Amino acid sequence: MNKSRTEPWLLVLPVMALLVIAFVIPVASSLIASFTSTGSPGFTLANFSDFFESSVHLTASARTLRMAFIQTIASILIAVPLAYIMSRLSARARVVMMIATILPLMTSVVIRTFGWVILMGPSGPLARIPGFLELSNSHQGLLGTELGVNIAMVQVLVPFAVLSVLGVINGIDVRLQEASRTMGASFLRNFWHVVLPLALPGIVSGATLCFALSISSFITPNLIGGAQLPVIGAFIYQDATVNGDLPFAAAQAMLMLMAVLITIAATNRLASSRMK
Amino acid sequence: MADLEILDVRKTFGDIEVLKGIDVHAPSGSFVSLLGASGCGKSTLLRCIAGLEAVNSGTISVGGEDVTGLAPEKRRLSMMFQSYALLPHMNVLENVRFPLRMRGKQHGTKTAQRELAVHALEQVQMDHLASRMPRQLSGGQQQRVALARAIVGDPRLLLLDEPLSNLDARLREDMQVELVSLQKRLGLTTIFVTHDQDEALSMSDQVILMRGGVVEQAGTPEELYARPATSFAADFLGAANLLSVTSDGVRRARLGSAVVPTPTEFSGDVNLMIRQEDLKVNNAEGLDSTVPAVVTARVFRGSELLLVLDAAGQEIRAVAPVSTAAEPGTEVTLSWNSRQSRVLAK
Repeated sequence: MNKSRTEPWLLVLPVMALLVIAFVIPVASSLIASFTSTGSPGFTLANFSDFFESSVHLTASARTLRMAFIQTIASILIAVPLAYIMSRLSARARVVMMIATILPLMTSVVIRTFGWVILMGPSGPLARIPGFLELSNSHQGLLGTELGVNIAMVQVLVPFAVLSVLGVINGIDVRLQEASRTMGASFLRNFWHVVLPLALPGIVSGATLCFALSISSFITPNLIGGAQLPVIGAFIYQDATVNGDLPFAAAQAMLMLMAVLITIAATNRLASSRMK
Repeated sequence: MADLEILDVRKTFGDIEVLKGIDVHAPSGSFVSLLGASGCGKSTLLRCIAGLEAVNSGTISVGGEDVTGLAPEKRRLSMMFQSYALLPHMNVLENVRFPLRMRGKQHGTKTAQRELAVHALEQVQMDHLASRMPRQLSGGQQQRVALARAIVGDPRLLLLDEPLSNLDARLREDMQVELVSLQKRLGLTTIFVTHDQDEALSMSDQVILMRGGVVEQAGTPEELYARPATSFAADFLGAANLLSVTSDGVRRARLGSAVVPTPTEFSGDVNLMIRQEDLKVNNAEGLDSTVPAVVTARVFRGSELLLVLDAAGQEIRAVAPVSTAAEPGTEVTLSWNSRQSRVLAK
């Protein structure tokens, strides 16, 4: 009796240990660090008051959140139909599509972003499209614009969204869709009334994943957006590594973590009320 | 309500020909069973009628309209699945309203659709559970909801894919009776797929016996039971004894050392079919055929005995009154009326 109760715990022990060492301890020490200061010892709220008094940081936070929302929505809009089509393909075609989807993840984000820099730059292929430079309103093509960052980030995020949604859509009983078709639902209405509601858990987890990845990214926003469009991730990176102000970096990281947690809670509440 | 006409339908999956030229006619308001063992093509045929599979050739018409190339949602028929396929994210009422909602216009406002859905639920005595979710229902209740969803809004054709096979024996018998009375009350043309011969015989106006992608025999249940055209049909529809006999002159067959009359002329080796219930043990009164046999096993079935006997090296099964003295090893005589036997090619 006792043994059968301890065995499951033994099985999750490695994961728990990893979680504690690689997540709980760093987050906890960041939390503690965010209430300290490099100058004076003891507890202080100075890091947080500095943050909320800095218009640069507040603007960057708003930008980070705005872009994360746009990128998440765009990634889901692309990923859901793609995952649905993949789920209806033959086994062989599905493998090909899977590889095509995952392949970008095999390349480093830096390499991929440089690809976008070339594509979006003033002498890149996109710039040859008539009216492109006028539309993007700069001498640098899409570089240095939020649109450029969003496009590059969506390319990073879509595979994660597809994998999340595909897992759930694959689990939907095919006969439910056949039944809905015989009951008079067209392909699109079947998608809207049957597939989408049943795929909601996958969509929610995919969106949460995309949002968390987007809000914490700084390489792609930095390389495409440049210095004009700083995101919070870039500030944290700079404060922690260049400016040596670890407590301030920690405070910003905590605020960002809170933003992610609030968004996840809100999304889950919304989704669970729909899934009842 | 409409009739169904299937002409020379063929269907292949890869290299395998699953339907090899099927012809079926189901008159308006009739209950037609597609009966056969698994792999005979009956389910594929049903899916072709529903439009879930495209046929390679042939035509399918409903009420005179050729629907062969139409998408499933445009055929205006309804199908009930073996797994019921209730939509898990909708309650019972919304599940039953779903076909009305999808077909839209002709079924009026939301309120009117709800009334129709409730009416359909009343037909299967499930209106009191209208606000439940499918997962809160038992298997039998889910099935009734699926049935209500299949009959709502007057479909032209009701397709049933082994709907009773997931129920326990008692519930299944109740549902057989209820399904047929509902079908007759609503006058729905119904195509019923089953592998259970008792189900097919007891429920249908017409039985289509399928085997290996072709129609083996079609007719009323009485015709198929009394006059099977082949040994396969005889064996599939109610357990029949098929005795291997050889020609012994005009309307006579040799079975071991015994010679029995046959209802029709034949030559060479054939099967002589005799139903279990047509055999009498140690009672030849008024019967013209008799063979000696030895009891090898005796199974008590409550109201009757099932006897397994050996006659000239061939196994025969017979039902007998419980009072019959027939312990294993007993020698008995088996008698029947030759008019109730049938000569069938091997």
